[in-house]
Formats: sequence, C-alpha cells, structure tokens
Amino acid sequence: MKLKKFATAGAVVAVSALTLAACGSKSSSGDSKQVLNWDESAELPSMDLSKATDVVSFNQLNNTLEGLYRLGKDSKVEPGLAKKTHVSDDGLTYTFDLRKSKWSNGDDLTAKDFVYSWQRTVDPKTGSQYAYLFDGVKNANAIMDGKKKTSELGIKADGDYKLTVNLEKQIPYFKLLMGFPVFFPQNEKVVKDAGSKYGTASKYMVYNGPFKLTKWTGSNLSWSLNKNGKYWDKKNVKLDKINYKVNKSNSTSYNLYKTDKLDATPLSSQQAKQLKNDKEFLARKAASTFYFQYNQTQKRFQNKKIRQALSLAVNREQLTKKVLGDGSTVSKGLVSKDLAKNKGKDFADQAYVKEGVQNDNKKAKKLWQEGMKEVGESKMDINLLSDDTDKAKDTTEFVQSQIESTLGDSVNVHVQNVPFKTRLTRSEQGDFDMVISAWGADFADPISFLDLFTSDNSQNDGEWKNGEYDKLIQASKTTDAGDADKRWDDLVQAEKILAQEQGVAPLYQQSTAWMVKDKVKGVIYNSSGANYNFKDAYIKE
Amino acid sequence: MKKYLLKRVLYMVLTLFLVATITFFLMKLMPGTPYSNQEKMTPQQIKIMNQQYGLDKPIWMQYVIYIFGMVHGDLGTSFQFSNQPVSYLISSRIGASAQLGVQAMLFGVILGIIVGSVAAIYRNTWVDTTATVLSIIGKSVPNFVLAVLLQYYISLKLGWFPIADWEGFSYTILPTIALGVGPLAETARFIRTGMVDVLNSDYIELARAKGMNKFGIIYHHALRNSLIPLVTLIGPYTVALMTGSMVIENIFSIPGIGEQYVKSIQTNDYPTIMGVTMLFCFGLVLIILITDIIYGIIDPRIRLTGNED
Amino acid sequence: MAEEKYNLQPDSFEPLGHDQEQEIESEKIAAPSLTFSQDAWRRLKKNKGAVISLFIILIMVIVSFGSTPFINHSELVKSNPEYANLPAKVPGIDINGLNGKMKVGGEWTDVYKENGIKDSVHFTLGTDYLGHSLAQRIIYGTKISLTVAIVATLFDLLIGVSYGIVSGWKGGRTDNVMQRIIEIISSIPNLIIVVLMLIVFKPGMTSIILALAISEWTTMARMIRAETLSLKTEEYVLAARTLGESTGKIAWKHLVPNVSSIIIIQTMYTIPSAIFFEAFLSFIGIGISAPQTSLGVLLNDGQKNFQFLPYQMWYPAIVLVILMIAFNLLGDGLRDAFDPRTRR
Repeated sequence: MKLKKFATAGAVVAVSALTLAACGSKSSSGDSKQVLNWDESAELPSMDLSKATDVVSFNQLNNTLEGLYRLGKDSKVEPGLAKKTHVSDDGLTYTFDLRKSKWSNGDDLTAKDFVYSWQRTVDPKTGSQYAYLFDGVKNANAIMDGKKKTSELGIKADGDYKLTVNLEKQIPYFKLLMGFPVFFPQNEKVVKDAGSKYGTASKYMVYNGPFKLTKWTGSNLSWSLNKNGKYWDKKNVKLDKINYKVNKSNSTSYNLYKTDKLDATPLSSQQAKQLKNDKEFLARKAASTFYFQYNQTQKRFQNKKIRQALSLAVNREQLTKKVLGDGSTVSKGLVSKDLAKNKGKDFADQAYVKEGVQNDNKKAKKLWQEGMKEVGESKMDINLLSDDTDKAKDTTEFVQSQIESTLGDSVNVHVQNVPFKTRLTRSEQGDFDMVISAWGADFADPISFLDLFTSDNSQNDGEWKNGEYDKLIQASKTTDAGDADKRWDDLVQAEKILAQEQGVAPLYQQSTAWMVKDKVKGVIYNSSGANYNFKDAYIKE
Repeated sequence: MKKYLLKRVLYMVLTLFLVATITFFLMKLMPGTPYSNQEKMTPQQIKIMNQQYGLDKPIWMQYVIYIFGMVHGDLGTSFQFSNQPVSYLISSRIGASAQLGVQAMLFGVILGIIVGSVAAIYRNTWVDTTATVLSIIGKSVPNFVLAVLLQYYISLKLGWFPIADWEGFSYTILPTIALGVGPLAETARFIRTGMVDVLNSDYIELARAKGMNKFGIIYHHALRNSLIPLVTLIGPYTVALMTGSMVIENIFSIPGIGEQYVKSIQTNDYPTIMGVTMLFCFGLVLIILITDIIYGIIDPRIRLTGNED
Repeated sequence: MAEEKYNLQPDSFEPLGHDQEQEIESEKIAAPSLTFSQDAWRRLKKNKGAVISLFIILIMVIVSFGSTPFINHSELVKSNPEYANLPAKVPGIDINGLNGKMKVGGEWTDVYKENGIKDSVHFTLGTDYLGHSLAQRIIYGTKISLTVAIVATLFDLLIGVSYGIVSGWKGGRTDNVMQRIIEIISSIPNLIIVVLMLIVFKPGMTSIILALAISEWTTMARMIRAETLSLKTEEYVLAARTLGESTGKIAWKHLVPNVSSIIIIQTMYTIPSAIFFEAFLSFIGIGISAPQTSLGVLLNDGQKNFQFLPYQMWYPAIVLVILMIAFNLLGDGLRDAFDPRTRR
C-alpha cells in the first residue's frame, strides 16, 4: 500500500504549492505607491562609468549619477552640478561653478572628483572604450596614446567648487557631451578602496544622482534603484523605487506585463505587429541607423552601379512595416531623423537624397546588368554578414529574398548571422562582402554619424574613399566650427555626397516597440546617448 | 575497490584535462577580442588591456597559465562583465541551476517509477496503453515548447503559478515540470520494461504460489530489482537536464548557469564559455563516478575491480 | 557373437510403405522455413502501432523529399510580406481556426478580409512573418530535419559500428585503449561538443550533422562491441577463423549481419534524438540558417509568437511530435520483433 501513500503525499504537496502561489501573486501588485517595475532584456554588466560599454550600464549610470548637466526631454541641457557656466570667446575654455552637493556616503562632492574621473577614463591603463569622446579636450588623445601623463589633461579644479576645462579645438556639442555618463564624477576614495571590485556590485559603489542602486550582485537578473536621500534636487524626485527585472524572452516579459508584474516591457517585432493599435503601445525611436557597407577593397563593389543596384533592390517600406513592424522607419539618410535641427529644419530632411534609399526594381535590374558587364562578371556570390539577434535574422532573410528575387539568378546571397563581437571583428578585418552595420549616436549631433566615413576612420569598414567628403568633414571641425550655419551646410553637403555615391546604403532607423502602462508618467527618453532619465518620472493612480 | 577508485579518479582528471585543452585551443581559434568598441581605442590602450587580460603572451604560455589557474579555481575574467571573475559568475548562479536540476530529477524519477510500475502491474490494459502513449508524448515534446505552453496556460490563463522569476518554491514548480518531463517519460518506460521482465520470472511465480500478496511482490521483488539499473540512467539524465536548463532558465528568467552559458555564447565571452564548459564536464564526470560506485554497492553482481568488463 | 545375437533379417531393410510415410509427415515442419529477418518482419507486422508508425514515417519521407522539385531555392527566398502572419484558411471549411479567422483580442476576426486579401488567396496552414506558406515551410523543414537526423545517424553508425567491431574483435590492449577513449568522450556532455563545434565552425547543416555524428556514436560503439565479444566465441566464427578467412571477411559476413538488429534498433532511437537536438540548437540560436529552415527553427519562431499567433507553434509542433512518436513506436516494435523474448 505504499503506492497509495505516495500518491496522496504528492497531492498534498501540489495543493499547498497552489495555495502558496495564490498568496504570492496577490501581495505584490496591490500597494504600488511610487514604485516602477521596469523590464530589461540583458544583465547589467558594469557600473564603472569608465569601463561601461552597453546601454543597460549607461542607463543605470545616468540615473544614479549626475554630471555637470542632465539631459532632459529632447536632449535639452538641464542644470546638473554646474550652477553657472562661463565659456571663453574663442570657445576653448569652459569654467563651471559647481553647486554644493554630497555623495550618497556623505562625502562632499567637489571639483576634484571630476578631475579624478576624467583622468581615470583617459588613462590607457583603465582601458575605457568610450574615452574617444574626450577627443578635443586638451591633451586627451596624447594621454590615451601613452605620450603624455594623465595630469596634463585639460581639466583643473580651482578650489572645491570651480572647474576649468581647456579644449584643443572647439566642440560645438560640448554641453551635450557633459550629459553623457563618461563625463560624470567619481569618488576617488571609493574607487581606490574597492580596487578591482569597483563597479562590480552595488555595495562597492557611491552615487550622487537621483537614485541609488541596490540589490545588484554583478550577475543577477534583478536590481532596484532607490531614491537617493542625499541628492541635491531630491525634492523633485517623485519615484521611491524602480525595480528592474531581466527577462530574456519577450514572451515572458509580455506575460508579466499582462499580469501587472511589470509596468513596461519591450516587444519583439512579432508582438509589436500585433499590438501596434493598443493604446499602451509606444515606439521609441533611437538615433541609430542600420546600413549596408560594401567591401570596397573588392573590385566588384568599387563599381557604383553594383552598389546602387543592391540598394535599390530592397523595399525598405516593407522591411520596416511588415518585417520589423516595431515602429522602425525608412532612413532618409545616414543621419537619423529628429537628431539635430538647425533653424527649425531637421538634418535628415535637408540631406535627403531620394535615390540613396529608394526601392526601384526596374532601375536596380538595369544598373545591375550594366554593372556586371563593367566588372566583367556573370554571376556573383555575396556573403551578407550581420548579427544573430532575431531582428537581424529577420532583416537578412528579407534582404536576401529581395536581392535574389529582384536581380535574378545572377546573384546568390549567403546569409551569415554571427554574434555581435564577431561581426565587429570581421567587419574590422574586412572579412565580409556586404555587412549590415548599425550606428547609434553618442550625442545629438550629425557629426556623430558622419565622422564614421572619412577615409581614415577605423569604422569605415568598407573603405569607401571620397576626397570631397573628407574635406567637408574637416572644414566642419576647423574653419567652420565656430559658425553654426556654415558647419551645418558642410555636413549636409557631406551626407549628400555619401548618399549619391552610395558609399553606404542606409536601410532603416531603428525603433524599439514598448508597452508602457498608462499610469507611468514623466519618463524621459532620448534617442541618443544614455536613453532613460527617470528623475521626473512618477506613477499616477 | 581502492585500486578501482584511484583508477577512475585518474581517468576523470585526464578527461577534464583533455577537455580543458581542447576548449582552450578552440577558443583561441575564434575571432574576437574582449572589446566591443575596439575601433575607437588607441593602440596604447589596446596594448595595455591585452596585457591585463594576459593576451599579449604567446599562446602556449596563456595555456599554461590557464591550466595552472584552473587547478587553483581561477577561471579568468569575463569579457562581458568587466572585472568579474568567471568563478564568481559561476558560483553566484550555480545555486538556482542545482536546485532546479535536483528537483527536476526527483520529480521525473519518482513520478516515473510510479507511472512505470502502475503500467507494469496493469500491463496490456488501457492503463498501460495510456501510460505508454503519454510517456512517448512526454519524450517527444521539446521542452521549450512545453515551457511556453505551461507558462501561457497554467500561469497566465489560470494564474496558478508565477509566470517567471526565482523567488520561492512556487516559482520553481513549472520549470521543474517542464524540465522533469523528459526524465519522467524515460523512467516510466524503463521501469515498465524492467518490471514486466521481473514479474514474468520464475521466482515471482513462486512468491505468488506461496500466497504473497500482489503489492508485497511488487515492493519486495519487482520494484527493487528494476530500480537498480535505473541508477545507470542518472548520467544521461544529468546531460539532458544541463541541456534543458539552458532553455528553461531562459524562458522562466531563472538566474542560472545554463542561461549564462547561452548568453556567453551569444556575446563571445570566451572565458565564461570555457569556465562553464569545464563545470558541466566536471559535474557529469563526477555523477558518472558516483553512480558507478552506487551501482557496485547495490548490485552485488557487479564487482568493483581494477579491470571491469 | 554379437552379430548372432542381433540376427538381422534382410526384410528388416525394406522401404517404408505408404502408411508409415504418413506418420513421418506429421513430424514435418509445416510452415516454410523463415530467415531471421523474415521472421522479424512477420512479428513486426503483427504490431499495429509499429506498422502505422512505419507508414507515417514513409509518408513523411515521401512527401518531404518528394517536394524537392517544387520547393527549391528560388521558392524559399521568395517573400510576400503583404501576406504575412495569416492564419489557416481551407476553402470550403468553415470552422473557426481553419477559415481564415483568428482570435484577436478575444474576438474571432477574419484576418484575410482585414488585410484586404483577395478571396482566391488561401493558405492551408497559414503563413509566417515573411508571408511564406507555413505548410510549405513545414514540409521543407521536415525534410531538413530528417536529412540532418538521417545523415548524422549514418555517420554515427559508420563510426560506431566499425569502432565497436574493431574494439571487440581485437580485444586485449587495443580494446582497453579504445574503451578508455570512449569513456572519456562519453563523459563530455554532447551539447558541449556540439556547441563548441558550432561556435568554431560556421553554423549550418554540415556543421550540425558533423557535430551530432561526433557526439552520438559512443552508445552504438559500446553495444556493438559487447555483441562482437560474445559473437567472437561462437563456433561458426571460430570455424571461419580456423579455415583461414580474412578478418575483414569475417567481420562483413558474420559479425555485421548478426549485429544488424542492434544497428537497426539503435538507428530508430538515434534519429529522433538527433531531430530533437537540432530543435534545441535553433533555440539557442546556432541552428540552420536562412533561407533554409527546419522543424526546430519553425518551432522556435513559433514559440516567440505563441501569445498572438498560436498556430505558428502548434502546426510544426504537431508534425514534430507525430514524427517522434512514430520513430519511437517503430523502434519499440523493431526491438520486440528482433528479440522476441522482450515481447509480452
């Protein structure tokens, strides 16, 4: 009779588990005061602002720390630690008066913390992958190259609350940069005490921003941001807590959203297509563009007609609406829309070249045949390299289908979906025929994109070369740097050349589809740099 | 026995050493560096960073350092999580995986024994047929499909269990079921076949003839004898659970090793790939050794000597 | 002497009459003599489940491989995004779920009408996100899954059988070394071998097949070795040896036929596990790449979308499960047929 006993015991376990589960699910949703539950799709890999390289890290840094400025809605520069800013007439010296504020451990935050942080980042020993943003700050490049000492960096503390920054050349977007976490202060004592553990768990960190990070062990799938009582502007911070949960499966996070365990969740393309008419649906436009690079060390891709034909064969309208369906839009050019405006006009509209991003199958076929004749080939095999995310796979499958069915039997596209870092390495080594690359702006200025395709830029993987383009970019940084309009025209011209010559072929501007509960208000999302700013967010009951 | 054990442990070490060597050189063949933004770094920065990761040394030296470190429990530093030792990543995540694995194993084996025995006792009746068909279906549904179905119907529609996460026993139930169904089906089939064999043997006839009751026979003779070979299945189950954990942990957002492994594959985090590979291998080798010893103890017919076979 | 004692008369040696012959007739084996495989086939035919499974497998093989001329490369790369994500629609059938209607927000809606698709267009099993016919994808996916499984199993067989026979036949030191090698290989989780191989080599069908073959052959080798060890001592093998037959010939003429039942049964179990493994690989993102597809890829695409388009997971899942059940039942049937002792 043992068998029977077994069975009943099993049933008891199952029943008690049920009641347990029922209790568990009730308690957490009821008492939501000013608590936000946010979904994240990847772990938080680092909280060391000098070493961070990914979106998750930058978002957490942006909400737990604060620099000279904080970027508000539409990347508007809002006051941060800088109370007053003075810019010299030549635009090369910035003097900041800092407000009195404290770190979360009670230490005073002084100008020295900025000096220490900046020096640490440009120090080649630190290995910061974002130190390149310091380009233009006096001696930064030389220090990164190991040719000068870190103390020679163009930043000085005059007393505790005055900070002076010297530049080598004008940086028109300097204030925007100051809102990016790489330029935030660090507490030297804390960094040194933690040693190699700095930035690897919440207990080794201090904060000066609106929130404090808690419950992060360095590799876990959940953490919280609690309101920072020592923050200088704490009276304007409304949220008590933000709970982050990492869910790698979009179906799982959407199920959690449906049951109110999450207040916001990103959606996969397939989910987005189904939910696009929902009132909680939101497409967050990012300042990032996906584009083809052709390997122009190969003779066939030096032919402009071939490049044009491949680009013309892709129906970008279908790609964004039907395949991706997450709110992504057809690119007007390399520089994303709504990134930068001059005199009320958007850069993307001004630099728009229709045939650069158009779909015209007839023209594609004609150019293809002509191009094939010119390079003397009758059949082409093309390896199309891309990432291995779902969206990248969908994109390559569609592009493959478009090119092969438009251009016919004379082309064979082989899709290669590889992990992100493999894609980067292979692009850099020129180990590809065509690659779908993506670039997201670090700050809201067209140069963040256009810099990539000067002849000597290391990110110009296809090695497209154009003298006129190089000249225009150079002019925007030197002779025309002080004249906003002229600089603007230079950049517009440059992008037009890039589009006409099909140096690269822009495909689409990325959006991420989200579902966000109605009660969540005041979340600031910026398309470039660190995306999220929760300082003003609140829950409306 | 002692000699046998020593020999087995020696093979274990040899196996692990071979795997470490092969994995190491395979990873060295791979393109990619720890840096996701290499184009923007200066040569000086890259040089210093490579020194810090030990990538500036010749490969054989890196190999010696890696093996030496491994013996001392140092598996290097993750490429993905900056400054995070791989051994820490593993230790902070192994708990959830181990719990899930043990629960799934117990769930599968215990329920499998019950289902298998019932099927054998009522062999060639509708009970048997149902059990057989169900266990074949259980074997035939990929666990990620099962996990999605359970999550959708049981958690979302019925609301009986939490959808995802890892915060208490109720959170473990669905993942355990999704992961344990494979072993359950296998065990049920295995036990049924074994028991039917035993039930048809002469000594059972004798016991029956002597008037022993049905359940006494099953408990004293049939079940015991068919349980012994089950021990040999624990090794293969462990492999299945490791494989399954990658899928299940992903779907139920469980902070475990399997999920970490998939992530490290997707991000080219070679030190972590190597570390977890070694861990999986070590786990399996250990379990095989333990089950072999147990098998030798409970089944006197098998002698643990220096030369088996 | 003794001869005198048994005084044999000449008539003792007379041929049998008709009456006695009848008696001998009764001793005769009535059924035609059957070879081992004929006997096994006879037993298999009695097992209904196995026969049905065999038919299902045959039909699936014929349909999926027979589709090759119709579902070729250019058909695969064609996409019609305007037909994306349509549910099943079978003309003439008006059952919700098969008539182009789908539950959207709790209501049955005619998705075809909503998207302004002409009445003449219908997809028996619906479409995927690029507007491919799902039925076509499933047939093609089945073909790829079967190809991967069968080719991997053949490799597995080739390595396993020859390894097992050599190891068992040679015995002694060679056997010892070969067994240790197997021990080492089988204590590496197969997923690790596969994953490592796929990270290093370009993911694709060839790599998957190779990886599966390399990681799966040890079981086969072990079983074949055990069988070879016992066959080695059989009289007919000894006889052949004594007569000076070459080892190769003995292996081919005596050993292989005798282990064939093990081979067949083991194959039946390896194929479904290879199909399964391939599905798992596509879940972790290193499976078959576009434009090819497999049941695993389809399932994985489907599961991501299950909340909204459940049919995209259900249909490939049903096909996979039927295929798996068929192979398992046929495997069981064959095992029973070859080894009547296990049959109850």
